[in-house]
Amino acid sequence: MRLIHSQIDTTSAEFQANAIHNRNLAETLRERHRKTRFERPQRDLDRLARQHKLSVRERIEALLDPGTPFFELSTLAANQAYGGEVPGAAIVTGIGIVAGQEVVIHADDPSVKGGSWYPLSVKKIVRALDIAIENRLPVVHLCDSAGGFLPLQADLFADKYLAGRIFRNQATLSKLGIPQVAIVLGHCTAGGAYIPALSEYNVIVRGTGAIFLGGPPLVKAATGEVVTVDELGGCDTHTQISGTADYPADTEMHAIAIARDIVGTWKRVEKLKIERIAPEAPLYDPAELYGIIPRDIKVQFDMREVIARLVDGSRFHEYQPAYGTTLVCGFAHLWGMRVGIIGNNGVLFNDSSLKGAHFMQLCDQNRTPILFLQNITGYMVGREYEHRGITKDGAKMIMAVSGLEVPKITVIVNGSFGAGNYGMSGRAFDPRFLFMWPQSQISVMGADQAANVLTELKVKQATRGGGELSAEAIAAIREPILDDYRRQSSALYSTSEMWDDGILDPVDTRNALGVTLSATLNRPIDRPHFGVFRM
Amino acid sequence: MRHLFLIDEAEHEAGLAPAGDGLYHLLVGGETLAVALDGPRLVTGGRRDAVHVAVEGNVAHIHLDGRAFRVEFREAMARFAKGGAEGGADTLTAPMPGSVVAVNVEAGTSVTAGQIMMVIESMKLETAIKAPRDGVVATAHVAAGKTFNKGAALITLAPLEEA
Amino acid sequence: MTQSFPFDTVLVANRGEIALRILRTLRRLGLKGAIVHHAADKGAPAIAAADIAIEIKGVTPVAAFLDGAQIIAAAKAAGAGAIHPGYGFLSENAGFARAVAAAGIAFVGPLPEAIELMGDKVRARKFVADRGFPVAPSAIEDDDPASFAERARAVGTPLLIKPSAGGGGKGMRIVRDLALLDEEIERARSEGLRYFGDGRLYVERFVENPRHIEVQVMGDAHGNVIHLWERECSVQRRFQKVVEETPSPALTPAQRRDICETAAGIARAANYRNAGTVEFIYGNGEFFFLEMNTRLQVEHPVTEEITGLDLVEVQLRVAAGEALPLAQGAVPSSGHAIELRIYAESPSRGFVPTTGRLLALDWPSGPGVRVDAGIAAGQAVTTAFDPMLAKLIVHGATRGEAIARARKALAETVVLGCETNIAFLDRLLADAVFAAGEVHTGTLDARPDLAAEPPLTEDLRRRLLAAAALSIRPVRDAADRIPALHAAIGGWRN
Repeated sequence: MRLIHSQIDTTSAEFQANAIHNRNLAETLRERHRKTRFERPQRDLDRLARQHKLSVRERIEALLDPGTPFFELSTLAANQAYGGEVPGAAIVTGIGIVAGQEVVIHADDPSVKGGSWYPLSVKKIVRALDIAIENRLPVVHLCDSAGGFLPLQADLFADKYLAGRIFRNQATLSKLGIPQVAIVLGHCTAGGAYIPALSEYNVIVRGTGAIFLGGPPLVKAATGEVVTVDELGGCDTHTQISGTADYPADTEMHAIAIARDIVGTWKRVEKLKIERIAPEAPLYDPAELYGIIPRDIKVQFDMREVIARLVDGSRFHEYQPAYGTTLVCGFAHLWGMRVGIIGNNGVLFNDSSLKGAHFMQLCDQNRTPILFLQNITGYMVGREYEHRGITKDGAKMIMAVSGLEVPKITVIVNGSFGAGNYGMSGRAFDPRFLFMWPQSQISVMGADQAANVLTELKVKQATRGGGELSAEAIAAIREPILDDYRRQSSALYSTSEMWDDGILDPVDTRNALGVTLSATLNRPIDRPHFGVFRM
Repeated sequence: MRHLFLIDEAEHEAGLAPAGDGLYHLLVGGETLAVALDGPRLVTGGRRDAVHVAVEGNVAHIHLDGRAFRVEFREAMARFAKGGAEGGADTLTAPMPGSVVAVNVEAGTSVTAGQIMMVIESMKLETAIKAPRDGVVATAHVAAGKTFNKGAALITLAPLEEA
Repeated sequence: MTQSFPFDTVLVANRGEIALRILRTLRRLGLKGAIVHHAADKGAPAIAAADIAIEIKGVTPVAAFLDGAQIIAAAKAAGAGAIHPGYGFLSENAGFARAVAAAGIAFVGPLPEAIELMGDKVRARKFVADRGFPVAPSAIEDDDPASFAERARAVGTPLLIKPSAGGGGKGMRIVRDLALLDEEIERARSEGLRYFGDGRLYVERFVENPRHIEVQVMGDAHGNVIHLWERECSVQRRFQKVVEETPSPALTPAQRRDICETAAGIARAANYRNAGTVEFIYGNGEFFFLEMNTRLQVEHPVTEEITGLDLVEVQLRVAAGEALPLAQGAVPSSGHAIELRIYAESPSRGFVPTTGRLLALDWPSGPGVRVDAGIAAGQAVTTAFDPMLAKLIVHGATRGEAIARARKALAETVVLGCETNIAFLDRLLADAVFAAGEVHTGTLDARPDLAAEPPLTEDLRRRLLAAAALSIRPVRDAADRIPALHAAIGGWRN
């Protein structure tokens, strides 16, 4: 390991301008988080107050151990969907510590449309449970949902990864021996009823909690039977008569206290044994990341400067420092845990692709989790590179990244374009977690490049009968295309659609990696084995 | 959630988390204090005090600054239950069918948690119906010698005032 | 010259600190110590310290210690040639003293006649007054019940009504307005009946802001009586002593000699043998005879500290027929001694007795510091017996030095598991009134602030929470379950 010697001049005009730009972005992100978490129509807040309900945030804070982190995932899910009216997709998910246990928390947010499940809500729950499965994390469900949002039922019900997948994932967790506790704080109707039913443990609040397949109005319509909520599926009904619920609770806080006690009885799994040392803060201030990330996505920067502000003591052992220099590979410690790091320092050439595939195999062999730091425009194109086999070298990287047994975590620190996204452990390659920085972009190709291609097509159509378009006319075609493309390649769009697990303020990245890397170590991993590399 | 402690009946919340090397972080209000207890030595922040602590269940008897204090930890489950630690309802129901052997209380009787209020017999087995919490009996539903069915109300305690 | 004792085994008919304290002297003198004990005192150190321990039974634990026949039987079984009754229980029971003597066992205390005389407050007072010693103006109902109310009026206000058979403050009533006299007499009578089964009363002048000063006396079978100086016991709550000291800060040297010689004179007039205490009420430079206690007092150690005598040893020697070991002129008075009674009680809640299991005990030590305790960690403190747990006795060259030592010793005294008055004692010692030596028997009632717990400072609150959180298992275990990594990241939110 060597201390990284930063080449950054923090007094330079460039650094200062970047810092202002990126700090503004981070500030905007925080403001979006705040609004998503706390800004609600007054009538919804009043309704919850009448029901003596805590807010979802208060519930989570009560659930967590004092003095421990809560890392919220996909806070801005659905921010570009449903007219922006379903903040966080009406669901809060994250990783936290409950009774000393790392758990995934899934909480319905009853202050958003009564906790209705939208298609992206379903996606968010499924993703949270995928995380639980992939990382062997127990789950605490805080249930308070009015059920599926009927007008959009076609988009949330039937397909493989839609609502049914929630319950399939719960059953999978159970089969893996990973416990779940559901706290029923409101109604769990229809499909929602299965969340507590499929949890090994559940707690229900007397008076406000209820579980049923069909609520009283549906029962009346179906069979004519008139029944109260409590009789049909209240606390005493389920804890004393049906056995659907396990623990009666008097209040929400009581229920949360019981759930904490339950989690405290769970056996903790033995973590994957990787090299660990005492954590050390980075030598360089992580806040300097604001000044390092360029304002313009096309401006290159040295990924070592980012690494120096993430890893323990800013110490890094660089692998093959002279070969394939557009890919930086090496070892470092994050919160004392040894990781391999693969970061982009330019376009991927043949040598850098080979280096990447080789280093991945090395990490898999010595059981070292890998952190991917993406800033990639893609693999080099052109005759020379094709002749040298750039496609098959890229394929080697994809084969390697797909076949890794060690945990992968990906942070898109700037651009993520084209096949570079694949080779650098994009979403499709099952990194255990994937995060974006606020200014980062993700798409098949860069916005200008893509807009040019699309504009050219349109111009060709418009001029098929002959004639030429004025520069203004071309601009009128190009601008909306460019705007649309930019929106869809933004981090906000990505996170709205949950192509990632959330946007990170760069200074939060080290903590986020600590929490998630620790989570990945709960799952045992297989011996190294890969598919066939095209040599 | 943070823990609840009672010092002389007054409530205080605090959290405790490990800080490595035998140190802990005490979270009080918005502050974090590095603390440790090393035998008769209490470290709080930069301060070291001689201390004697004797623990009895959830109560710590502490001798500090030449004074003795009693600090009680309230378990969260008991703290937030409206009734007793079991989170039971105000009405105690029969766990199985049987008959009443003895009734020790009547409406208005003050009971303390654990006090035997009624003895019932089912399947030749005597079971004591104990008060789940401190309170006052509102109704004793069945008299000695009477039989009852499973789930029948036996005794109802007067509901506690909402805090 | 001292001679060998006519008995080799002494039965201690008591419990707690006094039993242990008596056993200590027995051991030092080469005598065997036997003890009677009740199951309620399981684990008490006195039981372990005795050479012979015999269990006694009773409807209540106190009843067992009041059962003279059982105790005499125990003494015989132990082969004891003497019984030391300690204080309380049967120590001032003339019938018991007689029965002991009749059983051929030496009673370490006065003759039954002296116990009888001084046990009847009315007779005792008349005896003292008739011999020219000062008593407060008073009226005794028995003298002429018909004129009692009228004679009581003549005593003048403020006056104090007391049950003739009483003691320990029970049934006493102060009257400041003669219009209420009849009403208060009836109330005192019914209380007297309730507590002592005896409704006879007497009234005496009530001394405002009175101070309680008593004199230790000692007599032998050869007609010698000496005093061992006075003790001031004005710090009282609910008419029970809390702090005792000697010399009294209230007295000039002349007054001191006067009061001590008066006490010795009374004892001499009563042909008093063994240890006794003559109690006076003192105010406005005057003192009046109050009563005489015919036993070893709880607060005897302060006298031992300034005289260098072991009073229990002197008691045993006198009981064995020896002459007093020193003449009056040879009794020293060196320095200043203070005794603090440590009670299981809650000063902030009207000094009500508290109970619990003693989890940790740590007594102070060092030069001039003595602790007479009879309890051990693990023992239960119940309401079966008196709530006194121990006595802390300090000795210094001056009163100021004694107070400073007492405060340091109090700070080092650890009693955990049961609320005590230790912090209260320190507040009292730190108070200007005590420092000035101006405490009278009504001071504690007039100063409720001394009994109140001071509010917790923020700093102390935090340290208490820290100590509790680190000690109580579920709390510490919960912290220890938190992974180090997450604890290091702390309460971070993204």
